[in-house]
Amino acid sequence: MLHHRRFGSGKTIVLQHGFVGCGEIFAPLSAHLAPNFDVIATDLPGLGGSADIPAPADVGELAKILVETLTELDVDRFSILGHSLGSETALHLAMDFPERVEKLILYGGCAGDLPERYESYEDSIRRIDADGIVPTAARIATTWTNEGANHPLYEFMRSCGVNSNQEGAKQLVRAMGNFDVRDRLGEVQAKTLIICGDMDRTTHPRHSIEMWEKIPNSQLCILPNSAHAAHAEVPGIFSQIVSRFLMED
Amino acid sequence: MLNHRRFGSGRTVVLQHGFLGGGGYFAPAINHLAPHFDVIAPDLPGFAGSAGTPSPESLEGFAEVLVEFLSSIGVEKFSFLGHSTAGMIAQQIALDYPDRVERLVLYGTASAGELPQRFETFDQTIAKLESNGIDASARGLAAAWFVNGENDPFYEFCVSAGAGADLDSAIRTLRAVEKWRVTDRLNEIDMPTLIICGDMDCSTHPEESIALWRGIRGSKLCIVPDCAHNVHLEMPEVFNRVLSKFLLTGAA
Repeated sequence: MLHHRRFGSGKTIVLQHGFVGCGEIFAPLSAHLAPNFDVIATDLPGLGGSADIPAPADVGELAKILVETLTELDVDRFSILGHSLGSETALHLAMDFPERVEKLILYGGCAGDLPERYESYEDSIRRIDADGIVPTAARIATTWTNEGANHPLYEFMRSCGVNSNQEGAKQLVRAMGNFDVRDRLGEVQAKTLIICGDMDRTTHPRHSIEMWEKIPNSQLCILPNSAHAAHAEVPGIFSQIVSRFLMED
Repeated sequence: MLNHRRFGSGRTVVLQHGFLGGGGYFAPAINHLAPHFDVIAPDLPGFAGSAGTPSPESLEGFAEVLVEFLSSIGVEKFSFLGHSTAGMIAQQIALDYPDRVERLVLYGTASAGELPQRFETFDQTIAKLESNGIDASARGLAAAWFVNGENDPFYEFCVSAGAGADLDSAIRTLRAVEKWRVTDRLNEIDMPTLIICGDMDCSTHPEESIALWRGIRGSKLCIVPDCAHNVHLEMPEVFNRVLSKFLLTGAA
């Protein structure tokens, strides 16, 4: 079972963090949602509290592992918000287990192939080996906001990634490299909200626009002057848009 | 002199309504901005409280009238938010009077009047204006500005803010919009620019806003989910926060 934190009560919303993060990163959003929802923030295999769980090099496998954890927690239907690699996982999950997903939020995500990413996946693997995982986590956290290490929440975001397993992290980079579901976007049945910062250097906004054009019942939110961590860069606006989407019929 | 409302003090922000609108429909945004800014919301010539002033023949003409009006009330430098048709006038002001504009907000608009994805053609809108009269046409048009149409709690507020438009001026304005185009000149706009649009906008499709964002160097993009052409009334909390953050952050 994946490590997780669970707060509040009501309909279930799963918050799935991305690469070199952990569920802590959603603490502010969890506090906003917990009065109205059963909030579950899971840690991906190889990362955070799940660092000892072997990570697959395949996003479809990540989705399966996440669903198994939710089944063990007695959660049948849920909404899910995924960030970055978590968004890829949530998207795969919604395609493979449509009956389980009520609403889908794809935040800072893509459907495959990221030529504009701040570095290639090969470089990411090479630098994990060369620098070690803790400096890599710190370096990656600087790419998430426009202010880098000067962002007031940088230290908080960096700390969410330091407990990553080095081999697990490399497997997850391979999973991102292998991920491509661009031909399957029409399969998504859940009502979907796509969120992205207009200055995102990890997942360029064009990927969000492309998903919005191809996912049948989807809404688009682009947030100005935000990079890859809009939930921390403009937390008030982000929480408001997410909770409105989750509460509406 | 154009009819207008003016509240607050600080640097000037002009909120300019669009076709068949009125400055009054910015009341929630004015309320939010007035503690920090000198907020001016004029009525366009031919519309709302300025219906007695005939509208110009071109959007360049609208730009000139607005800038002269601001000069006449002692405003030299200003930030300018233009909604819909006024977002086009805003681009024209930024091109023709770049020294006057501090920040630019292009809200629910496009870089050309030719809008293939608009919910109806301009000829259809003009035909309705001529056969149904201005009041009924304005009600129908305003319904298209909200995802929830006439059921939106702000619908009647919006309609009443736009009441009183002059029919000839309205038709002349649509003809002016139709022939206007600055798509090839977007790279000349170099003041800080924010582009805002609802993802369900069927008057000016979000693709128009995405194209503005791609065309104007360094511009910021905000697309608001589950909103149509009236984000400032459909999701005022988000609209106001995004707007004031843009106007206040890094301001001199």
